Amino acid sequence: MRKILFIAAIMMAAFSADAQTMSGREIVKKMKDNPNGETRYSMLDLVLEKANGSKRERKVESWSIDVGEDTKTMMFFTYPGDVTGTGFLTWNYDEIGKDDDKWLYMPALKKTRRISGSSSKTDYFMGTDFTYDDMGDRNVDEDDHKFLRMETVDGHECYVVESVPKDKREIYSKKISWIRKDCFMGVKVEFYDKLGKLHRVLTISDIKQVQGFWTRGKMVMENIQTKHKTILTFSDIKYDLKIDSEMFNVAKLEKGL
Amino acid sequence: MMKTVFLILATLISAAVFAQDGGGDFKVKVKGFADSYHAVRCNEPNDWMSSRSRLRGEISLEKNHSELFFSANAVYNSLISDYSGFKIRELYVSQTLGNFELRAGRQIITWGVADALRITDLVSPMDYSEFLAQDYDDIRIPENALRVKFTKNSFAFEMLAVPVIETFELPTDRKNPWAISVTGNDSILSGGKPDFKFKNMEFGGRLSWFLSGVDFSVCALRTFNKMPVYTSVFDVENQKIFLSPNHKRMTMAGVDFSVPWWKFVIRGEFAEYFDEAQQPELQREIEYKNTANALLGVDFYHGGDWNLSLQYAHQNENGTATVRISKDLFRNTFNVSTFAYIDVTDGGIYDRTSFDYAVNDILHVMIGFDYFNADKGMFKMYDNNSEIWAKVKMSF
Repeated sequence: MRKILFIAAIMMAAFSADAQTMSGREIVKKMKDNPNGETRYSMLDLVLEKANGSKRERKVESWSIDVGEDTKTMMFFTYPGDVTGTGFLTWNYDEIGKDDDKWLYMPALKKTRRISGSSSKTDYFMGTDFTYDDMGDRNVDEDDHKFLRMETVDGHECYVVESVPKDKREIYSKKISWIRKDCFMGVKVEFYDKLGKLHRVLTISDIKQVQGFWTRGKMVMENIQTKHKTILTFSDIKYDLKIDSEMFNVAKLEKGL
Repeated sequence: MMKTVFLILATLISAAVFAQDGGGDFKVKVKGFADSYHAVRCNEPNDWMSSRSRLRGEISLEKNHSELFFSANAVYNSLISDYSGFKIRELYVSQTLGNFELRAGRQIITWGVADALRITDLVSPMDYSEFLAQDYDDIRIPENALRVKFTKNSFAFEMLAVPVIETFELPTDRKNPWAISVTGNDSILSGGKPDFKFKNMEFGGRLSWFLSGVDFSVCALRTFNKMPVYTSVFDVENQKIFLSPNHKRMTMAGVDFSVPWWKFVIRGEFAEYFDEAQQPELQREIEYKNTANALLGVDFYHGGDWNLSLQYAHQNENGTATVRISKDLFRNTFNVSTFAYIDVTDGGIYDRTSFDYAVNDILHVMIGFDYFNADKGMFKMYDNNSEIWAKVKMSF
């Protein structure tokens, strides 16, 4: 009996040490640094669902490439018809304080317009419950991170980390993330408003490996306060496509990749 | 129906292409919309200013690095039968060869960074058959052009040649409430376009850089004044002035830039027009002079789906300003916007305010108000044209 208690004590100590050896920042950094290839392609289906059940839909085709710590992304709307062909080109910089470069292509006008790279991060993306920041690649050091505890979610052991934005202009006061220990993929995020009330909950599911890379298949962002939610489903996901960063330019935005 | 027609057309063409070559990816993209637009004058006699329905179809066929693009309108106009019918809008083929893209055919060519004002954007002229009371993307007239574009990294160089130019569409039929009048007591004669000769070809080029923190371009165009100047003859017998439109050779050299800064984007254009024909006084000859033209604009992205845009353009001693304010509400399903042209020199204004509700993913309902107020200047002839309008639009 004493032997069993001794082994249990050692296991608990080991478990505790594992969690404590990684800081909140290290856990979030490992999640951010999860390998996802040099280039990526996917189709995104966004379903916006009101509390009364009425739905609207947006479909987007997206390519992206890593250039060092920075990311270049090109997106085109494919549905609904009135925005089909509208394209966004974003050069997203990892450096804190450096504004992104962004261009918008409007096919009806046959025109590309430079748009501000600094203003939209806290805005909601095309009426969804995701902000531009949620859709982008946030620098780890834009938040202070604190490891809270370990928890099990859907049978997966998860780190629970609290992140508080350093910039007080952010729309949330803190977020709490559940990050799977086995693959460092986030499975749930709670966003709290400025008053500290739960505002939005992001649930990530259908996590699987595609071409050896851990991949999210479905994300549901629900606004707890309005009961509005957005279901984002990824399909036709591909990694390490043979495209180079030279293709992420305005001429290609006007022509399509 | 239009979509079905386009799909059948696409299928037939694709079948023909596959019959010749079974390899490669073949992509067919079809899109378009149907809309119905009606406007009534606010003042007496409260007559209909516009009543039309339209079907727009666009089809793109791509195989390997070749593309055929076709767009057309089928229009029924209740007020002016001449505007009813089927009309090809764009029809071009393009081929990509490495860093080069060649595009030949009827196409819209847009230069510059200005919004609804033209400083360097002189290639595709404007359709003023309803003045500016059409959607801005409907106003551009495509040109039959050959365009070659070279792209490398963030640099682009394009050259174009237009064998036979298009000119501004200016209504003269008095049944059209948007018919132009230069003197208030005139008849405008048709014609005035350059002869269909090789020497009258339009040609030019544009170099552009799209860099981190700044976009800029330099361009040059050997062209014509596509908005005519009018020479006049006074008919003593009828006590009437007869006006003849004139399109004369000119050359444009210009630059443009866009610089994002915090929540703003600063835009600017400058162009020198060499030998630009000047509108003469009545019964005088046309004179030519070099003119400096400039525009400065600022876009403010406040966040919260607000957009504000201001521009000021100075052309040939005349100042024009524009103001655009737009706000999306209810998760981008409802848009309120206002866009005003202000004739700074003469004090006139034209403003279009619109309310656009997306009933669902494909159906939009819009209502709006066009307001004119001018004692003189470019908006004077439309001073009584303030109108309320409604539109439904279904996209596919």
